[in-house]
Amino acid sequence: MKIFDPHIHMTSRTTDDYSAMAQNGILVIVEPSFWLGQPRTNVGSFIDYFNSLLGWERFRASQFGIRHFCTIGLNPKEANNPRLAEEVLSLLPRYLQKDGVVAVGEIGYDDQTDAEERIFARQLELAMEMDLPVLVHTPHRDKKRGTIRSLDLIRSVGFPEERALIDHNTEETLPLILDTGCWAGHTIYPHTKMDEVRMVKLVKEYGSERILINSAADWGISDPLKVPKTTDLMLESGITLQTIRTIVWDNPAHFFSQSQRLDLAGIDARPSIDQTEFYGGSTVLRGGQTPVVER
Amino acid sequence: MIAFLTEILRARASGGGWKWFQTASRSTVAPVDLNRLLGNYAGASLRLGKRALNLEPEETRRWNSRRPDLPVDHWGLDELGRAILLLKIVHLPPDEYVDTVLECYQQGDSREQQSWLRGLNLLPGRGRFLDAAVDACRTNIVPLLEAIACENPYPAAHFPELNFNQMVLKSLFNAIRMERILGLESRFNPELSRMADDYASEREAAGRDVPPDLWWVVAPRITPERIGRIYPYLQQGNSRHRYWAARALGYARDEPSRLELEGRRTIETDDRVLAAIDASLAKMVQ
Ligand SMILES: [Zn+2]
Repeated sequence: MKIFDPHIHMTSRTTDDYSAMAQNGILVIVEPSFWLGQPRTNVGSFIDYFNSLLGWERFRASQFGIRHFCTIGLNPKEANNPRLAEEVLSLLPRYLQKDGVVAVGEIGYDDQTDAEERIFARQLELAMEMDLPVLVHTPHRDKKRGTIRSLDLIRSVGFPEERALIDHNTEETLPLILDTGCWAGHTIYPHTKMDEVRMVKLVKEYGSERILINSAADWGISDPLKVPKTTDLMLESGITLQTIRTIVWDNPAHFFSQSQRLDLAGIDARPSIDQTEFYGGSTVLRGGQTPVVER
Repeated sequence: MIAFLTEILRARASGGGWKWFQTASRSTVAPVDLNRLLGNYAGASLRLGKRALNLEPEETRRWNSRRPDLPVDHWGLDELGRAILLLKIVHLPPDEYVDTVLECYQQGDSREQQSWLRGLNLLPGRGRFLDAAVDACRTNIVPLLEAIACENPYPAAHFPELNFNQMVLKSLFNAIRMERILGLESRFNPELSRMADDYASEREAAGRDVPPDLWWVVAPRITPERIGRIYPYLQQGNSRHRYWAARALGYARDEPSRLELEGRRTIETDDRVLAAIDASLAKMVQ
């Protein structure tokens, strides 16, 4: 089964993860920009981070036959640093025009402060100007309220709902999203957010329309194979192949193709691997390893 | 204050450590060289060690006569050293003082930041450091979160309600016991009660365990029609759930809650839970 993981932080993962992902059918990924577990103290750190998402990380993915896209934005946690937030916002118009940027994100609420709301709204407006969809992170704490506030804000700035993917949903928030025109993402984590068994139950109850799943695999306890693992459990649980395909391929592909920067026909085939390639003088290979070349 | 703290430090530092500290103290005299100060702020762990202060009874008595609100037993010697260094630069012009203190936080590693968050309670005009203290709660490093949220009077004294509530929720997420948050009772509020209640619902919907002491945060400001959601926890197998449910119901004033407690009392076998039930029933009578 072809799999599209619409939310995975590969910067924190190893090449072993990439090869396991490729073996398990993952063909396309979207890596949203987010916070790095540690607050950044200056705008230069953002420039380097965005550049690495667009450059080295995409190259690394390609070495395993995986197409890597990314979303660029200012995450809600760091939106609370007023000086930094302004400097990062001023970078965004230029970064959002770069190749392979398929949405503005992750944006949204964390502590649900006024500063977060301001920066969230400004990035929604920026996404409209740039004609891009948005990837919205919902908070861990006070999630239901935060989700409702996110939906309200999207509506109040007049952002087109079908271009918003609201992520990290639970049993309590999914129905709220489905009541709107937005798309609903689910992060399958080992201990928090959502697990495979609960996800199967949700799919049985709500079907596949506008529903996505992702692994979000990052620097925390997480598993980059959660999407294929959930796919397997859905199959075992008697969910139809068509439903599963809609969730793990068609939906993410359609959602991000609204950016006009993801060619639906083009992503269907796995790109051929050439590990003899270099990126800025670097290769994913270490001395003595034989490169994989497919032509 | 500085003299007493320095005495505590001196009684515990090694010979080399004390010598280092005296030299380091000279970097706080005007004109202050920021790089030297930052170096000394960093070096405190290496030079003084991290052993907990564990005050002697006499020291505790003297400390409590000064700052009964501020527990320091758990501070490491390095943390005390850092706090004294920051106290010694109060002679700087106000703006420079604030900037210098903030540099110590921003350039600090986790241990330096923990020390800073604890030492904050000693600094004059500490309200000026609110933004950094609030920002510290955004960390995913649990010991750092604990440094501000636990055994620390700063949040209850200075945090606006939104930030205080977020800190409490984050502590619940990280399985931090609510009793470790100083002044929590003085900051109970309806919004916090609602947030914790929603968190319990979210855990229940996901089929996951709810932190037992969460009800202590929920109950005091819960709306009367929702108090009944605590009852099932009074019947749970785990005695910690029963204990906290019993304590939480002490905030209720209604007859059904009293009957729930009375009912459990007849079958409860755990002494700690029984004591909590009795205390709550007594509270309800008042
Ligand atoms: Zn993420």
